[in-house]
Amino acid sequence: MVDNALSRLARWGWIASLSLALLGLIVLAAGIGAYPISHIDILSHLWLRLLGGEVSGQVDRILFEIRFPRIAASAIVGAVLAAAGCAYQGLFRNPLVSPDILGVSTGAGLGAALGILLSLSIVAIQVMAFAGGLVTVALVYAVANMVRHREATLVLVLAGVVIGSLAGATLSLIKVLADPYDQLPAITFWLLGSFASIRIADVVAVIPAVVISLIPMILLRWRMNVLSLGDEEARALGVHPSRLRGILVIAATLMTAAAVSIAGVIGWVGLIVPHMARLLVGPNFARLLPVAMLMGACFLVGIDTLARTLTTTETPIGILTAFFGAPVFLFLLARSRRGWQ
Amino acid sequence: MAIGITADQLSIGYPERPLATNINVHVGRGEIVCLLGPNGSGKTTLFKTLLGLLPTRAGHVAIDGIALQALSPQQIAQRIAYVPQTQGPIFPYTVEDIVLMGRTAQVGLFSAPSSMDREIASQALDKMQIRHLQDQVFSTLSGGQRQLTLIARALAQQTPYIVLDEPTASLDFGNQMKVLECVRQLADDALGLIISTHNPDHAFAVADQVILLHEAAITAAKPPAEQLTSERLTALYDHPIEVVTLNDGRQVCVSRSGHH
Repeated sequence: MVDNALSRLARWGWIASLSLALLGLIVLAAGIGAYPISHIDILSHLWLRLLGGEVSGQVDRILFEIRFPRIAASAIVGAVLAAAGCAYQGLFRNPLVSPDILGVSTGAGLGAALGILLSLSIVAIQVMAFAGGLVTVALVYAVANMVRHREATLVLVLAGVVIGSLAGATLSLIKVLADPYDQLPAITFWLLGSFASIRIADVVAVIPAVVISLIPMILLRWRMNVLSLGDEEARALGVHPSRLRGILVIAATLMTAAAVSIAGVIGWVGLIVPHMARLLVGPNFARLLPVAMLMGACFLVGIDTLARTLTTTETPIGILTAFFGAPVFLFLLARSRRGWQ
Repeated sequence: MAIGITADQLSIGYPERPLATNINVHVGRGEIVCLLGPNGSGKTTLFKTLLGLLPTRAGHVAIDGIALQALSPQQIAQRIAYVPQTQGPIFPYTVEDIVLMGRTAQVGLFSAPSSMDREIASQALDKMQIRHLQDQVFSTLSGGQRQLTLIARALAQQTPYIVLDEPTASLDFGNQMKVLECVRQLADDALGLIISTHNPDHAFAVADQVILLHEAAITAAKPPAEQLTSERLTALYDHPIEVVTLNDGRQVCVSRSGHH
């Protein structure tokens, strides 16, 4: 009983300290930039907004029209990619998969690019991104299922790489076909991943998809654990594996597509953040999901702040996540002999 | 209503290649049925078919008189628990997590296990005398401890029947006996158990009924002393085996080759 109380305390301890870290990072990030703003100014402006007071001036415009939307978007996208990574890893019983390795991000990027090529509306582009991601994950899973006699982990990753590069090639084709003055820059932006031109309307536009796809993950948090034991064992424990996996894959793909539709393809977050979160709180999905989402949010807010301040021009965010992600992943790979954490 | 797990004229295996046909099995409550058969004879396939994890090829299976096809996975899991041969989960779940997963069929679709479920899991750990392992990571346990954990999970499922697929495989002698004693005790608590093993001595030790799965057919259930004769075992394993009766009346199997 004491042990239980202690582990519960530790769990809430992590959630509380990560939430505080995220708030701290947000205030810190809001102050940094071409126009430095002091933290006292940030807090007082926030306070004024909260009280509904009359606001105006350059500081206020920078904070609420540029920096906070961008910070909110990076936090949401980081949390979403981490959550999707946790879900994919559990659903495919495979610690090596993530939205980018499974090709979902590229597929969603392809859908978005197609949407831009056809000059569709923002909502239609989101729908296209979702369809692209879903088709990709279905193809990857189907291919992996056909090659049953090989090691499942390897086949899934390889299928993801192959289908992903196929989507990438199609994407390149679309770039060739796109109008070089109008559509091509927009598509390129999607592929590199960037928060540079985020507006508050973009943030608001993704929130419904994110909330809708989080709901099944939260509700099915316990079933998710059972599912990660494998289909037969899960079924023997009373779970309907294919139906449940279908629902959760759609949810994870929907949230990934929503993230891709505002921020482009950002790799590594969905792969390494779930591993780091598992190191802190273990694999139980009910504990893993909130901790991974907070870590993903912290990670991407931090990375995006670097992306816009490291040099005078924007550094594409995918470059930085790779610089951070690759060494961390190699470290995890070296540890993996002792079982995936 | 027929109490027990009943297979009637059952065929198992693949459509183009049935593993065994015309299988009749009955497992009653408080009874241990022991299944013997050589490697590849279809013991695991039979168990998975009884659990509804694989489709029946012909015939039918009923649990307490209700046809298996009429039951959802959750309803089956409320009636039969499964101790599989498993390599264990890919993620580092603790022993407590694993045992709690046995409660899944009793937990609402959108809920996590309650404190009452935790209490039931604790009792199952106590029963298997592995409470001290509850915070350990499953994949770091020894083979014997893993097996006891999986049996604890089946107990936490609180079903009237348990299917155990070679629960003594890869265990040392002491752990084998521990598992067998535990199986006997569960039957004494009125659970119905069907268990497969590669060791005929285990059937002598715990079984009420023994069935042999051999060359695509299954024998009628008989008590161990009637079923496990020297001739039958020799044919089953394609190796000369002699059943010897000890001074206290217990029977054991010995190999006859190498004995000149």
